[in-house]
Amino acid sequence: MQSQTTSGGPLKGIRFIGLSVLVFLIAISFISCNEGSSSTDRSKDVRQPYGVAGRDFSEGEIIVKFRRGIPFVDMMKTHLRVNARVKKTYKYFPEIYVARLPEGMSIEDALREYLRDPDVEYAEPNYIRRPFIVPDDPLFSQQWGLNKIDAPEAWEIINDASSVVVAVIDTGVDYAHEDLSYNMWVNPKEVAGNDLDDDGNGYVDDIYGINAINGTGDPMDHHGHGTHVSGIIGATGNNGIGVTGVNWKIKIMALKFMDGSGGALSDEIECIDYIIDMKQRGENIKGVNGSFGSSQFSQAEYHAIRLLQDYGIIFVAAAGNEGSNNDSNPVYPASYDLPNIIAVAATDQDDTLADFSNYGIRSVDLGAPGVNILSTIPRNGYASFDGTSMATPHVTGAVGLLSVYLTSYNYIQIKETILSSVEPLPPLSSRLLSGGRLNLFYALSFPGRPVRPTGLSASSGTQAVVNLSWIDNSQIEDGFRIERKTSSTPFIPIGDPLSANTVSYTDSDVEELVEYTYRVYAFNGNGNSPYSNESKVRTPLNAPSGLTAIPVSPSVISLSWTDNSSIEGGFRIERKKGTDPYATVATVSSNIKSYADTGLSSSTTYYYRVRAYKGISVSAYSNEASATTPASGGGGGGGGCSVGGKGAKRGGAILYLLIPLIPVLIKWIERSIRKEAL
Amino acid sequence: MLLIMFLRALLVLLFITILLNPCFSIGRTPSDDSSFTTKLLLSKGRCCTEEVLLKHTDLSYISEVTDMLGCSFNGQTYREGELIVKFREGVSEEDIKKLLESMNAAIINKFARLRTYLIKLPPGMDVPEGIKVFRNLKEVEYAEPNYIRRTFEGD
Repeated sequence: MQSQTTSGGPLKGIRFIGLSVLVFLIAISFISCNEGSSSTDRSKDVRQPYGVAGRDFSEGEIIVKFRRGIPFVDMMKTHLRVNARVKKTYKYFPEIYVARLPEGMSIEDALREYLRDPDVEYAEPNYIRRPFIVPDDPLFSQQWGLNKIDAPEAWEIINDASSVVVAVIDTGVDYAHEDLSYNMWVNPKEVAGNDLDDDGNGYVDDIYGINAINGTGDPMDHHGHGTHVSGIIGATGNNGIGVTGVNWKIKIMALKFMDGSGGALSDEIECIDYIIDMKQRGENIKGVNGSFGSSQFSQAEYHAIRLLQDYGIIFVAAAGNEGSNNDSNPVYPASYDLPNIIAVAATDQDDTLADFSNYGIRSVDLGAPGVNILSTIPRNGYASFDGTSMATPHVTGAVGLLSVYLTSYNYIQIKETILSSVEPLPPLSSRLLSGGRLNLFYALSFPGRPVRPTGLSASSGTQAVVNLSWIDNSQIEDGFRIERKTSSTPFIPIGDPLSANTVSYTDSDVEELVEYTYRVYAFNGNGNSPYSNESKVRTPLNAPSGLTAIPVSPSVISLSWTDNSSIEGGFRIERKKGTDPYATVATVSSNIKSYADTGLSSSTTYYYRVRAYKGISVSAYSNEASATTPASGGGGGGGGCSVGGKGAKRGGAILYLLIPLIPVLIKWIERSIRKEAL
Repeated sequence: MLLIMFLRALLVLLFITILLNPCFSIGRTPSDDSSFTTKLLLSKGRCCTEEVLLKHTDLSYISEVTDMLGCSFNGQTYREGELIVKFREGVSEEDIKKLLESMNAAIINKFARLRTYLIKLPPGMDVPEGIKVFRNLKEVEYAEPNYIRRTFEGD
C-alpha cells in the first residue's frame, strides 16, 4: 500500500490515461450509444457489488485531451467557453484535463461542446473502473501479487491464452491437480495409456510433456516446485476452485529435469530439445519458464536457448536468490547475453526488492512478485513460497497473455512491451534494467514501446560543453530524445530527436558554471520508453587558450591569450622558472587578454599559464607558453622566443606555415634572429 | 612427454592467474548479439577494480576461462563420470560411435536438434581429465561438465 503513495500522481495518471486510450473508440460512439441509459441512471450513491455494472462514469465531469502543441492559453479558453473548471491535470500528460462541468450541464452536452473545438483530440466521460472481472477462485484474495501487477484490470481486456503453449522446465507438474489439469498442454498425437510411442518422438505416452531424468513420458511432480510455478502461470481462473493464474486459461507443457536436489544440465537440454521438436511439429509454444540456475556457464545451455530464439520463443529466467549482483556474479541461464532471455528479480508487497533477490542494472530485466506467493502444490494442495522462482512465472504468464493479445508481435516486441511497461520503482531504477516491476495492465495498454536506455553519463572537460553517453537497450526504437533541467527550469527536451541506435550526444548549448541534470528516453511510433537514470554535471568556466609569450626586452615578456569565457571575473597569470612550482604573478580583470610581465632576469626562460576565475570558481589552465629573455645590454627588442602551444607571433606568416612542416627550420630561424639581435 | 610437461607448466601458470585474480566474473553486457560479448572483471583484491572488456565470438574460450578459475570444479556442481559434448559439423554418428568405442566411452543420450551428446566417460577417468581429453579431439567443438542447476525457491 505504501508503494501506491510513493508512486504518486503520474502513475495514477498513466493508468487512468491507459484506460482512456482503451475506451477511446467507445468514446467516439458514446453520444449515439450511451445517451439514454446513462442519463437516466441515478443510483450513484449505491455501492455496487463487484461484477455488477452500476454507474458507468463520474457525474459532472469529463476527460478532455487537446492536440499536442496547443498553447496552454488556448486550452484554458476552451474550458472557459464551456464554463467548465479544471479539476485535475497530469504532469506527464499536459494536454489532458479532467474538467468539472458547470451545474446542470449534462455529460452529453459537454462532450459535444468540447468536441466542436478543433483543438480537442478527444473528450470522453470519466468512466468508473471497477475490478468487476474478479475471478471466483476462493483463494484469490490472498494472491497479492496478481493485484500488484494489475491483473484484474488486464483481465478485463483478456484472460484467456488457451491458444498458447508455455513450457515449464522444472521438477515436473502435478498434471492431475484440480486447479491445473484443465490448463495442461496435451500432446495431440499421443494416445494416453496405450504404452506406445504414437507420435514417434522417442517417448511413450508423453501426454503432458516428459520426464528427462528417466526418459519417460510422465512428468509428475514429486517435489512441488514445478507445480507451484505452473499455478502462478496458469492455475485455472474463475473455476470456483483454489487460486487463479496470471492466465485463466493457457496450455502448460510439463518438462521435468529436477528432483528435490536439483537437476543435471543434460536433462534440461533434453527438455529444450523436446520443445524444439514440438515447435517443429506445429505446437504454438511462445515461452519457457526457467525458475532455476547456478553459477556455471554452459555452452550447451547457451546454444539450446539460442536455438529457442531462432524459433521465436522467450526464455524467462530467475535471477537467483543470493541477494547479489548478477552483473558481477552471473547466474546462468539468467545471465546469458541473449535477446530472448528475460531475467526476473523478486519484489515484495511493499514493492521493494526482496532481500534474497539478485539484481543487476545490465543483466536483470525487471521485478515481479516473489515473496509469500500462494499457488498450487501437488495432491490438490496450495501453499505460499518465496523466491525469484516465484517471480519468474508471473512474467512467463505475461508472455503467454501478450502473445495472444498481440498476435502479430515477435518475441523482441513482446519482451520490449513487458520491459517498457513496468511500473517504475525509483529504488530499483539503479538495480534493474527496466527500473521497475511487471504491470500486466500497462503492458496490454501500451504495447510495442522501446525498452528504456540506461547508464546515462554526463561529463564536461575544460570548456562548457556537455558530453552525454548511454546504453541503447532496445532493438525497436525509432530514436532518442534528451531532456535537461537546471535548478530553475524543469526538464525540457533539448536538440532534435536523435536517430535510432544513437548512444552519445554533445550539448554545446550550455552556460558556464551551471549544474545541468539530463535524462534520455527512447521512442517509436507506439510511444516513449520510460526515462533512463538522471545524470548531473556542473559545467566549468571556459578555460582561456592560445597563450603566447613574447620577450620584448631583457626584463619584459609580453603575454596574450584568447578569452573563451563570457562570465569570468578575471584571469590569474602564473609563472615558473626551471623546475620551480608555478606561482601567481598577476590577476587581471575580466575581458583583459594580454599582460606584460616586467622585472624579469635576462637570458632566462620563463613558463606561463593562465586561467579564468569567477568568485571561488576557476577554469582549467590554458596551454603553457614559454619565452626566454634576451641577454641584457645588447640593445634592441629581439630575444629568444619559443612558444609552447598554439604558435608564435614572431616570425610572421612564414613561421606559421613552416611550424607544422619542418620544426628544424624554426630553430634555424631562431638562431639567425638571435645572431641578428647580437 | 614434452607435451605433458608443457601442459603442466600451463596449468601452473593458470593457477597463478587464479591466485592473483580471485575476483572474476563473466556477465552479459548490452551489445549487438551477433558476437558474444563478455565482460571480464579482473582484480588484485576481492573488489573488482580493473575492467577488461573482451569481445569474443568463441564460446569455448569463455568456458575455458571459467574452468581455469576453478568455478567449475568446486563441490558437487556437476555429475561425475559424464560430459556434455558437441561434435563438429560433418562428424557422422558412425564416426562418433567408433571414436567413443576406441576410448571405452559411451553415448548416454543424444540431443538431435542441438547435435549434442551426453557421454559416459571411461571407468577411472574423472571429469576434469575427460574435459582435457575431449577438448583435444579435433572432432569436438566443445566439451563441458554436466552441471547441476537448482531451483530458486526460498522457505
